[in-house]
Amino acid sequence: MNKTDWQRRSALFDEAVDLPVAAREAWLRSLAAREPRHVDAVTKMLAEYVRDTGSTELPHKTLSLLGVAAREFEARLEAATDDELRLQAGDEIGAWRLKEKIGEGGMGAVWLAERHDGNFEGHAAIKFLRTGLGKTAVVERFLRERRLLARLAHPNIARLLDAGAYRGEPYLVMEYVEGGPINAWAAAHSPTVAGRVALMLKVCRAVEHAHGQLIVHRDLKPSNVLVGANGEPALLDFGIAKLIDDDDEEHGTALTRMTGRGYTLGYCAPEQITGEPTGVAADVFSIGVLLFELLSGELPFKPEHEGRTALEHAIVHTDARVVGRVLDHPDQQAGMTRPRDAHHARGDLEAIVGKSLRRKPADRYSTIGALTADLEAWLARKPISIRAEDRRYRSRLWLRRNWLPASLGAVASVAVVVGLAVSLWQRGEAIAAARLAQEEAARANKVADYLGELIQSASPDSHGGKWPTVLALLEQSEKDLDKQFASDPKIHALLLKKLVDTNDALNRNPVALAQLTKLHELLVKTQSADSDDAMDALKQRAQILRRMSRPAEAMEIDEALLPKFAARYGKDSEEYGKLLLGSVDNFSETGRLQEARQRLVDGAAIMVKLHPTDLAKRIDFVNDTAVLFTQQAMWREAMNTLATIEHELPLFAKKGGQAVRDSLIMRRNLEAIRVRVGNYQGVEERLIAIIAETDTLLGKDNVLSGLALSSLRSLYCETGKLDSCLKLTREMLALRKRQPASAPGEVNDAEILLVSRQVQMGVAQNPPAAESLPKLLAAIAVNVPQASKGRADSYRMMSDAALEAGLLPLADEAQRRARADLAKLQDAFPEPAAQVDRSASSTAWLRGDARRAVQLLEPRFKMFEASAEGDSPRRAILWLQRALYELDFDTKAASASVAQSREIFARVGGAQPHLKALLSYVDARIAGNASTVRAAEEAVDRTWMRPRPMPWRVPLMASL
Amino acid sequence: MDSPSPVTQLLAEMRQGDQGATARLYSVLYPEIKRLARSRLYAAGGVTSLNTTALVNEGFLRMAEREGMAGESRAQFFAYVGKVLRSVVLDHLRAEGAEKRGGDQVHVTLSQAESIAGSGRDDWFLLDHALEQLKEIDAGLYELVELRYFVGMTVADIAALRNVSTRTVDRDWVKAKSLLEEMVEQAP
Repeated sequence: MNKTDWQRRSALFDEAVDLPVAAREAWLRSLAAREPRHVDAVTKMLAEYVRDTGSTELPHKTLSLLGVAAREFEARLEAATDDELRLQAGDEIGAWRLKEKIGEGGMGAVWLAERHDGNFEGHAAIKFLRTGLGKTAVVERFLRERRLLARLAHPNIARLLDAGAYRGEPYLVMEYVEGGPINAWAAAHSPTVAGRVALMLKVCRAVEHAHGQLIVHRDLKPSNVLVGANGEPALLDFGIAKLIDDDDEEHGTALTRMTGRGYTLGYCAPEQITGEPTGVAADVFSIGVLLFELLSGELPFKPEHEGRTALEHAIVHTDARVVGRVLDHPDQQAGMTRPRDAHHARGDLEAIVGKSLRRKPADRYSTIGALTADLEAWLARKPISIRAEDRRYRSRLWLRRNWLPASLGAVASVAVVVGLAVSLWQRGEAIAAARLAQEEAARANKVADYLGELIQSASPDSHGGKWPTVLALLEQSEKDLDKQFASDPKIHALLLKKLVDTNDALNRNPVALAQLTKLHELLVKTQSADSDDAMDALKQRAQILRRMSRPAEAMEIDEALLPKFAARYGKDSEEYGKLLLGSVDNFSETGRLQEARQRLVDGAAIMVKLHPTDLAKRIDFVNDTAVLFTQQAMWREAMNTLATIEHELPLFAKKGGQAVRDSLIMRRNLEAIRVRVGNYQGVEERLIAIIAETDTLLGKDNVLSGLALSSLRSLYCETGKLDSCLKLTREMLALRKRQPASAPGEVNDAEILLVSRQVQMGVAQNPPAAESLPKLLAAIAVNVPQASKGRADSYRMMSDAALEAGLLPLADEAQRRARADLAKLQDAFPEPAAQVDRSASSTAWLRGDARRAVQLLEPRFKMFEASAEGDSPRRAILWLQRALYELDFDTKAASASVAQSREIFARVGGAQPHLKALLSYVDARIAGNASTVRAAEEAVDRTWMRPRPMPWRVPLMASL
Repeated sequence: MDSPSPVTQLLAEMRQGDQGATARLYSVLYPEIKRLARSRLYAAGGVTSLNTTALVNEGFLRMAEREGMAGESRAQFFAYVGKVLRSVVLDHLRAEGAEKRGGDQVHVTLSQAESIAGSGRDDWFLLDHALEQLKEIDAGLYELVELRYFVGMTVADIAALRNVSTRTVDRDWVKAKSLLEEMVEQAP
């Protein structure tokens, strides 16, 4: 229906509606005579109008369009906005299967889950982080930080098992802890004061451990401190509050204010409420609150009015209550949870709690370690470190609050002075005791203290007014590490290892590398060169060097390590196999592809042997190995690897479900690779069968059969079945357009391919290539805004298409953009750049610079010479292309090249008629007989289906 | 307000046919819509379901008022909000479908193929496609669909906004439905 038709129909409908109802039927009859093509539609519209347009308006939710109800749109929008709401038991999240929802917190839902591949016994808790923010930023940040979080290994910290993003929503998988909140546990078991302090000591040591890893909890509260049936505490959710808050700073919105920051009122420190920087001091405060609650049965702040605002105000602007006062005037309802021997909490414990709950972070314990030491001292009935100071602090406070009565009443004033004298004496004792304890304390403590201090120093004051990042702290620590621990190489090594791992996890390669050098020296000195630690340090060094594109140095290390690993772990061990596979890139990136191949083959053999019995696992592994081979352009190896399981795939597919689809994918992969290496035998029938089976399984127009179709297209184009090639190129474009999930870039690529094909075969296009190609070029950057390997490939395809259309400046521009993208990517794989050079070689040749053209083919030849690809029809075609160029300036060279081409064709097959015609043409040109040359030209035109006026001389191996 | 705010200005540029303005407005509204939708869900604790009418009333009506939009520009703004709501859904469906798959991709890893299957989503792409065609043939009807179906405005609201009778809106609704159905039937 076009616009004019529609306007007419619309007017007719208006006319009919304006008629009295009784007159409409007659009017429709006359319309049937006058304009029959509109009568059905208008009749239907009228009926609908009468039915739907009553006196009352239909509610929105009953509206529907094309059978899709508006309420369903809302449901879809809801799903798009929050996948989580659609989670249900049985859903699989990565390697985990949801069992039941066990909680719904401020941050998101928590599910009980188990691992569905049997690799982990027992249960896990999956916590979805409902951030309510731009997903990508959070997910990225999350994936970066999770490596740090995963390093927390402590018996009293619930281990982070896995993490990831599910439909873009970040989640954490944690060890599932069976137990109740610490305050509920205390109420139920009613332990003594000493029992409660001992329990909190374990909590403190766990927090201290985390601080040693530069991870601050920031949301310690009873529901995050669970106690199991065995009486052991377990801390949950380390570092998560920070993940959320930090993002909040970038995207502060009304929403995040609604969902709340990652802290819990009642347990959080004042600086968290006011939004000031938080560090270990916030955890000290929260521990203080927990202690307060366990000892007194109440929370330290109790404003007169109820409500969030009043509580916030109290925490920020008033001092915490004193434990003793609460014990004197207990809240009636809190009585149950208080310890039987609560009076023991007076005095020293009260002081420890008070010191932890200071309003200003700087006035609290400087580290959890200091708090722990005092709790230990209390349990051992030794003097605590801060009693004196706390007394003085309280005296001062007392004076300040009560200065008027104090200055008036001499008695009060005297009492204060006596108190001071006593506490000053105690202070001297305490310092001596603390010194002794410190000497006894193990090295581990020192390390933790150092890192604790490091975090503690994280205040904006000492970092130019800006809140320091973990990075800034790490930088600072590097500066004084050597100084502080010069006398104790063991601690130095321990600390260095932590710094290395942190820097490594953060991808700070040069820094980690420098530290590793130092670490290795230390380890050799304190242990031995052959110690596990020293070898691991070297292995890590090689990994980092590879990441920094310094493969030669990595190789030197790995090669020295291999015999050592073989001796220690055995040549069939996973450790050895992994080291072998790791060393593949050392060779491939230094151009020693033969050796790279050998390493890959050897490593793969070891790893395959490690999973001999489980068919599914082996198939999975074989496919992954094949992927690795294809990434190295080792097509034959990939083909042979996949072929080892080809006969097992039907059996595998019998398992049903996902296995059916997976086996189809692998069959398609295998055929795609066969096309790539020129093993054309039987591929057509097999691909057609795969497409049919895939369509039956997944329905028409699915992506998988689209990929198989694309391989079939390549097969036709390469084997000279040019009619079928054009037909499938058209079909690919139509398919891309039909597929709802196609990205715009994919449609654009398919269009470029089609134009390119049409030009090549002289088929008319509309609009002509000179008009359509520049538009398609411009569309590439619009469709794919960021540089990527795929986008560079699109530009390269565009260059080839422009060449065939004789649009040289356009080809130049496409090549320029492809190169710019590749430069940005620093891609380790040589193929894309070599393909751009090959495209540029045609440009050079068309401009008459045949020598330059030959030079530009070099990178592509190099890839073959290094035998990454092995011999294939493509290699023969490359020689043929070179021979064509050389005809222009060196017939002898051309003659040698064409001989090479023939020799390879003879060996690997694939000399299709259209290629044979070109070979004969080169021969004719070398022989120099004009009439033979003309006959050869005609044969080329015939087989390439290219009409006369087109510049067929453009080497056409573009897509090869 | 002293200077025109970005949204008003972008709308003005859009009316003058500036394609860039359309894209920029989109990038302003898209995150805002997701944010609003989420906040509604969380406010309700995930108990009630999302209601576009309420969503738009809460968030965008206020924006329109703040921007001092009235009449035509206001209708245009809301129609645009509808389009963005729609693309939130379509993007989600696409993301569910698969990541970008290059046409010449030789090897597919098994995990990439995770979500290749799937059905029922096609209806939405079909509807989206038909709406784009509708826009070509009759922009007024297209706007009506956005406002009523996607944004959830009442007939009375739309009539007031467009300064026409509710009868006209009812009539146009029947027309839009009929045209959309016809276009889908004619599609290959």
